[in-house]
Amino acid sequence: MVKLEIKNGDLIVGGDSQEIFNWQNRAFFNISLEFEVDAENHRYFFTEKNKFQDSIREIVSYLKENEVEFTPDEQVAQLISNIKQQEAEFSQAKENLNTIISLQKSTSFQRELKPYQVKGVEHFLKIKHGANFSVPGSGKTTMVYAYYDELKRQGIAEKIFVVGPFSSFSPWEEESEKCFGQKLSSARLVGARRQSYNLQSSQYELFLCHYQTAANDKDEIIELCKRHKILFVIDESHYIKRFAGGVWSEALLTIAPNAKRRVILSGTPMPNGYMDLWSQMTFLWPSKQVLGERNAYRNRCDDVAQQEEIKKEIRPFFYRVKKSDLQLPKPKTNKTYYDLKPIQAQIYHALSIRLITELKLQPDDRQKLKQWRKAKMVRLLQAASNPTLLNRYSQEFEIPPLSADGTSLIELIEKYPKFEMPTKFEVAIDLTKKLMSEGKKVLLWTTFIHNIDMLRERLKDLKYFTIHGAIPRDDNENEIFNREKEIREFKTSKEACLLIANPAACAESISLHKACHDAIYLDRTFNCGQFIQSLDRIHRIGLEQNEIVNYHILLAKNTIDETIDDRLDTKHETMIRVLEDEIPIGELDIEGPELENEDEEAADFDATVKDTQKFLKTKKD
Amino acid sequence: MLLFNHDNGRFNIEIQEYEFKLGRKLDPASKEDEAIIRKLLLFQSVSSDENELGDLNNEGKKLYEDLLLVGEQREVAHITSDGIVVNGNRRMAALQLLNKKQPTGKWKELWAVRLPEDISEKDLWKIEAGLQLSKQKVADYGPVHNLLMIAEGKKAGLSPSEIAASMYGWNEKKVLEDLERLNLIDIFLQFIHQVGNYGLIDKRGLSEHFQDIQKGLVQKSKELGLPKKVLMQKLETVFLFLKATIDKPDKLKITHYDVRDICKILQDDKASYALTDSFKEQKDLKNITVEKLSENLDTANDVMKNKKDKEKPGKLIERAITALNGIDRRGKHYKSDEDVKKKLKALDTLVKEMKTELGIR
Repeated sequence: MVKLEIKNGDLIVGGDSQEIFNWQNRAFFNISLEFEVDAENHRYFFTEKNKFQDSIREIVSYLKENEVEFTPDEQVAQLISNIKQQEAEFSQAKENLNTIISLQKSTSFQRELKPYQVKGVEHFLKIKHGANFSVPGSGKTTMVYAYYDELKRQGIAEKIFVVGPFSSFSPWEEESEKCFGQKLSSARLVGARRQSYNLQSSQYELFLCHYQTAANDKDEIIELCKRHKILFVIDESHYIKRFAGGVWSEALLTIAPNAKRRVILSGTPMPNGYMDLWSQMTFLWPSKQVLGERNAYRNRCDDVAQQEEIKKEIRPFFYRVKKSDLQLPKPKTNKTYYDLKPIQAQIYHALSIRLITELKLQPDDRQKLKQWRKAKMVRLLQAASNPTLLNRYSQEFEIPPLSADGTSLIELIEKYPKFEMPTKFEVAIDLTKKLMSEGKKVLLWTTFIHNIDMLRERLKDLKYFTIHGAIPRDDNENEIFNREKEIREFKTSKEACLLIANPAACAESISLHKACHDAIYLDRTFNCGQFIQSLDRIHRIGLEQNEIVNYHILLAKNTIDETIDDRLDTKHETMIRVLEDEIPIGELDIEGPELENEDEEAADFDATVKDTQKFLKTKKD
Repeated sequence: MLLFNHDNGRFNIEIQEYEFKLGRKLDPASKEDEAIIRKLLLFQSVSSDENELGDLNNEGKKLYEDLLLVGEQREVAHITSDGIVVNGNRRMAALQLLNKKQPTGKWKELWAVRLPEDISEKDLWKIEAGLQLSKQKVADYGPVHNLLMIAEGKKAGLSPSEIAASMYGWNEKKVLEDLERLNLIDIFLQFIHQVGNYGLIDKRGLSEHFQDIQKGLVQKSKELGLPKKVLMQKLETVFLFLKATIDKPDKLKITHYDVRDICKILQDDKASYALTDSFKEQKDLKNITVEKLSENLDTANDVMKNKKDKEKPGKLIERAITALNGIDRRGKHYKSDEDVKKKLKALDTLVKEMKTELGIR
């Protein structure tokens, strides 16, 4: 008789008989499953806790096939029971896909669901552990809360645990009020206080934590899942897309089997293709019924012929609302072109010539080349936006100030604020004042923090709020002044006001569409994902058909602004295809720092050089 | 009195092989066994006469001559507090031999460092590893010796990175790979009922074979995410070939390149079928004849070769014609073997199919 037990943190396979050490068993345990051999004590043992369930599944199947009797201890029996339950849930989910399950009217859920949202909730109910890959702004949070409401009614869940980016915390709290009439008592598992939230878990219904915290506090979260019936949600689940070796994904895969129900949410689940799905789908189905073993799946992904099969296999397991399904009123985009002021034009011209003449000096080293190109593009961007920026360290791109090389150009830049104000600033200020005088709230986007500071100075007579990366995130970081508070006050202000923000700090998970319908873009970068996310802040579900959203894009003529505009249009088209695809493969490059993708960056740089040559020629002519 | 370090599993693989044949452990405290150990360390075989210096093995000869030339030990040995030689066993054997030949008292002593009584197993291992696997010495020991050395380090409680730090040219990954390879060797020795007979692997030069099994089968199966049970079936096939090459080296010589090919064959459905399908008829795979193994390997290699040329039908047909022309049609086997008729029929069907496809009447 073979004994399976978990003792002192080890998974142990032992037995009285020497048979356990015949060559076949040894090959299976020692080589295939990578168990250690303890010949003296007639046992094999394994220490990687997060793989216990997988190993037990393999062992049970192997022993049964070879008609070997075994006895599990209590902990192993529990894991075997979990595996059986997961398998049963999967079979049931597959059966349910062909049945009709209707969402019952709930007294506790107050928000009116759109028809496509009802379908989304019904998909969760059918599948139990569901993926929702709907486009940003389609109300994924609302669908999850409606599902949670139903699970609570059925006694399946009593708490909801959300892992997501920090910026998603506030929306989850605020949306809970809109869905249930009052905010769910929430605990943000942040900083040292998170331990006390864990201890007093029964007082809270909504738990919010970052992916990194989930990785750090894996064991505590598992305990929490054991104490309470939990609906476990991963928001922006593409953050755990790493195929192997990702700390976040490995931790969440370990936590997964302990939650009563699991949900993943992302508008862009597969930035790099089908491989990105493995961790996400395996979080939902830890017994790997959907995509199979990791390496076997990777090999399938590499085979083009297999991709169609994968497509068919995964489609039933997620729900998706495409951008066009939202039937939002079409936004108006007003692009306005301006000439640079004379000194600004001189500076821009000098930098353009530098770029072209230094092209043959491009470094060979890949990393250096990347940095060199980035610096060149950022310089032009700064010059077109506000030459004063050239004289400062760019926090946004980690580019030092243009070195003091003693040329007249440097002197010109240093003294620039004394000579003139860039046209864009004048136009942006005038437009802001005009819109606010009409009683409108205005969202003013700029990439550079120094621009935010300057605009704040120029617009100090108006009621304004600001958001950028250097501002504390929430009450935990600073109770008096923080990003969440700024957004909240902008949204709730009764009078016209202004929010000045940079997309890197305010592009994800924030809804401003109820408060604001006008956005001004002082400048933009090549990062299209961030641009789309910024557009979506005021153009999302909840807009009435008669509410027109206006985007005012300010472009400096014959500068990199025009290049960026062209590139963003092209990228936007590609991304629209992603948003409209039935299976969304592709990227809204929202994750990494600016200009992260190497191929994209090279294409952006080539376009910049080409346009700069064209602009210089135009000027000469 | 000093004793040879016999408990060390790695200590002279030849001694282990001898013990395996003897069916018992040698006792270094017994005079007879001590003499056997000395012969195994210095001479070609146990039956060698200690007076016949021409019978010294290479290492024994080198050491013996060096002691005579220098007139003393070049390096001190290391002994435990209770007198077991941790490092310098062969040196002690050579000194004992010299003392017999020249009983002047000059060769009576072994210069040694006595290790403290409370030395930990970890430290003991580190000292041994440092002495035996230093940059200068690592090549003197065989690959199986090194694997066993690593396994001992692990047993003494060292982590893979600690082991790697004590061995010249190793890193943590290599240590882990080596441990896995030793496991494979252990399993194979179990498969052929020769548990612990590492000398066999050394003597038959099979160490590289296991490197290829590890790379081509174990690691490949993991990379491909093959079901865990499948690996065992594949291992069994390779083991059969290795066993055959040990049992009947005159009939089937399997090099490590062959092992590499077999591993590739086992990853290919058609070739794997050609290699192993006929095994199904056997209840115990170990009864499969060497001839059958050899025949199947040839067929499977042909399948692989043909697969490579699948885009060159003309070349493949020509190869088939050449093979058919090679048949001795006057021979007895050709006329009487039922299998020939069966295969000819299958060939006929295939040719007809191809002719229809190409519109040939």
